[in-house]
Amino acid sequence: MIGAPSGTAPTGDAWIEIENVTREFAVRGAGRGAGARSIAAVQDVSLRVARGDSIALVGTSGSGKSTLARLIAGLDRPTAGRVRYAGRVVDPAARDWQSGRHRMQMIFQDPAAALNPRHRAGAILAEVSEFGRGGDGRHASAEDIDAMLARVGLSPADREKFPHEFSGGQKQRLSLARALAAEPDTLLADEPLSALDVSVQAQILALLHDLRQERSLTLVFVTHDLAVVPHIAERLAVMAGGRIVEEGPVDRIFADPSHDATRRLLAAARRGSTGGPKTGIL
Amino acid sequence: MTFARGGESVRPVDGISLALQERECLVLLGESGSGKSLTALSTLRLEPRNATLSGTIRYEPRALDLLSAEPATIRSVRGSGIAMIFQEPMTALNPVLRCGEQIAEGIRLHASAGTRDANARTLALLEEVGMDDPARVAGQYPHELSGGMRQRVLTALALAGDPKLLIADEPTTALDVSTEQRILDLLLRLRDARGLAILMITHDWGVAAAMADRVSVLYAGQVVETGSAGDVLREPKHPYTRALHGAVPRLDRHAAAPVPIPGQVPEPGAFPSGCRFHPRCARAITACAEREPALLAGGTRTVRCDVENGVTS
Repeated sequence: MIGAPSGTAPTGDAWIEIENVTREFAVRGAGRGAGARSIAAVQDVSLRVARGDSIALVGTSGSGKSTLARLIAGLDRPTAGRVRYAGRVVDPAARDWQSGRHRMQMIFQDPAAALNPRHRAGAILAEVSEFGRGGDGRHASAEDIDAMLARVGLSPADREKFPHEFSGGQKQRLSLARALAAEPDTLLADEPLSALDVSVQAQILALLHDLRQERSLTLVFVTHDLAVVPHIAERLAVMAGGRIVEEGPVDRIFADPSHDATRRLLAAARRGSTGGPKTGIL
Repeated sequence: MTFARGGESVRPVDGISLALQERECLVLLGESGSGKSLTALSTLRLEPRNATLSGTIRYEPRALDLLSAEPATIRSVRGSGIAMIFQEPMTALNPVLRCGEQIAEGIRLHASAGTRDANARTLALLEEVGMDDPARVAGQYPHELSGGMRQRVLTALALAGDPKLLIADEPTTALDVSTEQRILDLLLRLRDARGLAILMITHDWGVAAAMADRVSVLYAGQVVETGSAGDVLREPKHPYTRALHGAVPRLDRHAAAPVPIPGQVPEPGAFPSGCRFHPRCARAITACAEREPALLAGGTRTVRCDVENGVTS
């Protein structure tokens, strides 16, 4: 296992198991005459997440964290290695993966990406909740929909609204309600706070926290901001250059970071979360 | 700033007063809908076409009021008096021109420099914004550069007219935390070296803490608190500034979780009566819904809150 200290990996059954996963992308060389080559956005990554755990994937842009999240969700296929989820190999092409994939839901930085702009909020939730019940074809009742809206702090009046009628924070709530409508056991959140105002970020963070208490949701939380990590995750995996360079309990890594990339992220986050005086001027 | 919208007038910027000194960085701290970007654009008279401005925008180096000045005068202030950099440098740079050509064009526009002079100054500017290999960058197109490099090129372009005031509208929001730090360091260095005044627009408490000499906190089109960075960011007085501070996640594992501010930022046109923050405010009393609080000075700080200021009818 590259970089990940093996002693810190959970020893129980892994709910999500990533084994030596690599994802290469072909790139056309910039400029004159350079031939095609490939870069590895994710390189030989192994990681185990136990059921009910919350792990943060942290790194700068280009570190591979979003690509890894997409591989876990089965939105993309690894070039090498494999991802298992609930004991099955994640493969977008495999029939038996398709049948159970709604148990793993994803929310994104731009909540609108997951919301059909021509459907009202109620219709969006009703459609997804059918999967949650195993596609029984029964329509969710108005009460069901209202309960889904209430769970994320939206009101029954929001049922008839189109996505564009919601503010950014409300849209993220709706996209979370949409994900929860499928009754997932696992939630992948890719920078869900980045596009939101600070006051609204804290609302979504609190909501995710409560949801984890209510149901034993396994959470993979992708972020560039270490400051939110202690408030959402118990475990932390730091990515740099497509690899996991450090992995373990949040407490330990915050107290004693072992990799430079982690130290740099910590320093940046420390500056961001203090209301202190100006940092030194060059 | 007033917009006419369906027979009603909407005022997203409502009575904002700011003053900047030479070699000073004033940070406008606010969330979306606070009016911070519209305020910045107005300073350059780049307000939306359908907006009406009232008040004054004094540019002291030339004793001008930009609100009543002729269009030609305003144009002459843009770039050589006041310049601006944006969140997404790609939208401000010409994608089909090499970086060097764009900067040289800016130099020729503001000074009557010959081609050779302009090229030499271009390289000097690229060096000033921290490029290791100015000649190489000058020959590259914007898409060939990383986000941080692009922001440096845009900054060099903004400096082409030798401005006195640089307006920076969320210049690091699209950047990584480590790149962000380097761009902020660059801006502070330019402030010191050139005596540049900087009006920095941000929603980010950390950016404000890193940059500001003084801070003005905006909420729903108004300034709610102004003061030195040390005062406002360390001991915020306005309930909104305090709540914003409480909503910023702390890095410390044992720190309290960030506290959400209930409700939403109100939309322009739907600002609440009385104090605009009162529906979300933990300290609000009945009077807050009825009476619009004044921005009152206490020492070096001004706060727009009747409860904090001890104003009774």
